[in-house]
Amino acid sequence: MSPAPPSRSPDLQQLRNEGYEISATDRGHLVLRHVPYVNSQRQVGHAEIISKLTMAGEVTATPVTDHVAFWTGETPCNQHGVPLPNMVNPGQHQLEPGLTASCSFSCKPETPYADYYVKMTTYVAMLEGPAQVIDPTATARTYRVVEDEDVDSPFVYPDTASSRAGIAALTDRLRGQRLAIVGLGGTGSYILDLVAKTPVKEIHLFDADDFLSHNAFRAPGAAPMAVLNTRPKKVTRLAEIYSVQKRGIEPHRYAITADNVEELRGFDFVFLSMEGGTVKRCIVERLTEWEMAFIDVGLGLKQNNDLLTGVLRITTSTPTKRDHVASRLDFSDPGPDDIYDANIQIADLNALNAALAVVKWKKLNGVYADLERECFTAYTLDGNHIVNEDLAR
Amino acid sequence: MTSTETPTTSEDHRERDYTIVVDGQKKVVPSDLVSYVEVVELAYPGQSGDPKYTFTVTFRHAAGEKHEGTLLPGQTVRVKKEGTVFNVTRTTKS
Repeated sequence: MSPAPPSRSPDLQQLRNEGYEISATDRGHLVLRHVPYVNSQRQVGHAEIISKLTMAGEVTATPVTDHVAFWTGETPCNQHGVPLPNMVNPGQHQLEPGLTASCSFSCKPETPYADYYVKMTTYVAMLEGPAQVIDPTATARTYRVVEDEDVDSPFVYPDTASSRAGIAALTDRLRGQRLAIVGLGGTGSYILDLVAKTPVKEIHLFDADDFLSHNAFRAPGAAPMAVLNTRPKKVTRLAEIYSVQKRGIEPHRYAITADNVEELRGFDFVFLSMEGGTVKRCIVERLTEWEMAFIDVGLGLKQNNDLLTGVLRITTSTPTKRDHVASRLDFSDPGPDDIYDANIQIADLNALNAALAVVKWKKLNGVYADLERECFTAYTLDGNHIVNEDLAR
Repeated sequence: MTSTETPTTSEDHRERDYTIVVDGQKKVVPSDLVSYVEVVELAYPGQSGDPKYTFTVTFRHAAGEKHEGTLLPGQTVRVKKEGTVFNVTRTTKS
């Protein structure tokens, strides 16, 4: 199934019915291929017109307020080889891997284009007209059938947020990854919330716990009481919610222990958002041995008189920087004699801890700039204060 | 341990005392050199920091060149006469 079957949108279907070679990419672009044009040597060539797509679910959102289109050919000219006036904005754009525009077109109508049929055929006409003066058989209407691309789309519908922002090529650096989230409590569920919006291939969830009422107050979204009454597993509940948008979410209804830690082997990245000292030590040792990259997150909040204070911690371990990890993680097992063990957690701080971890993962993958290269971050609540240490060099 | 609770009035401060904040509470220390163990002790009075636990200790507004950061076991930081802020917690929850 295509992520955005053109047949569901009347304007895209009309383009296809009239013989235009269109496809909607799962990265949120509409591509119209084989558009004839005239270059500066008065030769007829063919290239692609591309538009960002705005979708309302499975159908295009109309009218189309974004009047800009992208072009993969040379500068288009009239039949005399003179560049078409007031149309071309020079400058290359990498829209997505394998789709680079040489320039963009800007032809703003007085009222927005009624739909993508009007927008695309308007631009086609401007290019095709001069080409037909030179070669009367030149046409964009080839009636060639274009397969809708990418049956392996990471999403149920296209990521038009990235294409709208022009950053699809950047977020693509995450594509194909296999992630594991170990522990789906407050922080782990917010990590899922954020990575589920990236084009990773698989997200594996490991947690044995049930999703109880108090979890609903520390997890993204809202849980109906009817769901709580069925006492679902956390991973089952979360996989169900997020699978409506994201493909490749795999729930595992058990915890990772020394007995099954082998299951983490081979993931591209692991988020550790779990409690437990001895088990965590074992996991960290194995991931290190297997030269894997991971982030361990944790928060500590406490109540002193009427004040809530605390620290959020993000510890990053990669094959190039790990010597800090042993001194940064607490591997003690929770127990009844543990006087330091106040279990205060609050959704906004779980979410912030998760967001800082996901931001770091994106930095490691070149999506965000990373000049500090910190592998340890502590956010201190009473100062709204971040320190970065353990810099990778 | 030589640290004490903050007196209720500032007149009680000795000239050489240093006032720091630990987890939102004012504390007085007798030296401008404050160690990891000392701060953990202030955060959990009467309980010496059990080495099996790893505390995340952050500080800011310190006197030294490194005016913000974290303390690991064995490390110390120079504090100001007043206003250096510490937080001490095990960051184990998620």
